[in-house]
Amino acid sequence: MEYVELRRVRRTLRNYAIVLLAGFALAAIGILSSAHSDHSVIGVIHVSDLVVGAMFGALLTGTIVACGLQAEWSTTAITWTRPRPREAIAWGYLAVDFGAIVAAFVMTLLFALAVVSLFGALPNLQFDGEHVLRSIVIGFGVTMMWYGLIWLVAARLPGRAPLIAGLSWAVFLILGGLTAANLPWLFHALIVALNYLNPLAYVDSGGSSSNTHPLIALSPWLRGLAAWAIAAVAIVASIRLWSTREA
Amino acid sequence: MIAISGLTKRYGDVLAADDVTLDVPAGSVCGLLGRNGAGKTTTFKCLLGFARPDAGTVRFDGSPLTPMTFARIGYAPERPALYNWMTVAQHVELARRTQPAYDEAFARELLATFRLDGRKKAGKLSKGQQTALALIVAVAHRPSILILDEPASGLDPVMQRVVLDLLIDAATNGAAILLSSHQIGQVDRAADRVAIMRDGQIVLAGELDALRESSRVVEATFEREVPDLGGLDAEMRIERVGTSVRAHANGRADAVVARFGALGALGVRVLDRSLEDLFLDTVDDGGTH
Repeated sequence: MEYVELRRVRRTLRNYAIVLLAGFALAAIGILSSAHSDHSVIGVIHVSDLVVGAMFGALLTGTIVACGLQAEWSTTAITWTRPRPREAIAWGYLAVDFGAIVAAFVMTLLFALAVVSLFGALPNLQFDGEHVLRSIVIGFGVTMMWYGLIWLVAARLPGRAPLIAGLSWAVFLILGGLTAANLPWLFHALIVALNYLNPLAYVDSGGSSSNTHPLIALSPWLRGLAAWAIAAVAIVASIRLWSTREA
Repeated sequence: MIAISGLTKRYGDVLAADDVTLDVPAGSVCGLLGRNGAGKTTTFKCLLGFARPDAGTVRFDGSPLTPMTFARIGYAPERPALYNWMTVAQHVELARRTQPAYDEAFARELLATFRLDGRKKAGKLSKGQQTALALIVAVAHRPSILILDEPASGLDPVMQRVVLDLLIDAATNGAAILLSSHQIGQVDRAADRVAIMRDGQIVLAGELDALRESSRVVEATFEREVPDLGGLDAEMRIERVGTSVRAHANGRADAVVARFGALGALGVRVLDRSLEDLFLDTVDDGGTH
């Protein structure tokens, strides 16, 4: 059954590549039409900052490909009549989707490097090893947490995965924003509690140049671990729901 | 062989399948008939593990359903479940990748028979073509157990005949086939046994020839009024129209013919009943008489 999901993610990645290429073309036009570019004014670019930026591509792709397994709700006559356990099918989809998320991350990172090279600023790149690793762990953790939460909610609401994935962006952004609002303490406490399930609350933009603070006040490595743990629980629970569901 | 025993499934207050017991031996085509909402689809869902029965068992060749059983099962639903964005060829490729016993030559033959263009997307196919594609995905591995819900729905008469021939051919080669259809003519042509469902229960089941034999009607005409039938009314359903009488003979047509002869009937004839008559009698009247 991974064949179907492979075809789905191929389509998603192809569309995403087109968007990136269009973005690169626009950047190139902008630079070529400007009088000159001087990379000395750009300053140091930390690789970890590019990694954090590239994570946006992974996150976007993750929320799109998260709809794949739940889309099988309308084709159970095929999906559930293959000689494989339903759990194995779901794990197979997860593997394909994770591959797509990594691919989207790499594509976005390459795009970022290409744009940096357009500016002639490749010599300004500085590899900040620990920050890069931390950004990768937190970034993929957050992405998989978001992915798992979409799976979990969609497993309870068959056929609504695209709607859930779309709404999740609004819900998580608003939920994060509400922590800064001046609310009565009870509401504030509730919002803070809910934010433990908000993937964006685990993000601090991560790179060396970061001066933002995450909503979840844990050390970076603990935040990464927590995001991965929530992702694992959500994914395992949704696979259980998916494989025992009645059609 | 498909063996269903005491299958019961309840949705809230609705008893969708009520103590369904049915055997479909290898080499047999069983037509499952019933009006909409009779419980056919629920029975199929329980058979395939799509729904958990509240009671009863389902066995395939003596074993309960496991994921590996699907290597021997072909299932085509009433509404073709296809990936509208995938092409015909990609659907066939999916069948190839997911069924260990996939038969490439057979799949090609079916594609040619149904005249399906491999490059066309499933969403662009006509309803009949979608039915055909769903059927190809279901049977491309030559399953020994076929569960088909309206397998010829939307197909033109020529293709319907092709599908029925396909089923008969599969049964001849030893497949056990459970087939649901509202087109009784199709069932009449392909099936050697039938089960008729009403209100979640199987109200009539058996070999078609035997059911026909047992449901023959003896019609007699008398010169004046119909005489006293000597207790026949208590034994079977009797319809009187003027000087004629129709007796639903319950497998005793010869005895009834002799009885009418002895009562001085001017003419007696035995009417074979069609499957459609059987079906209508069963679903309208609440069972055989």
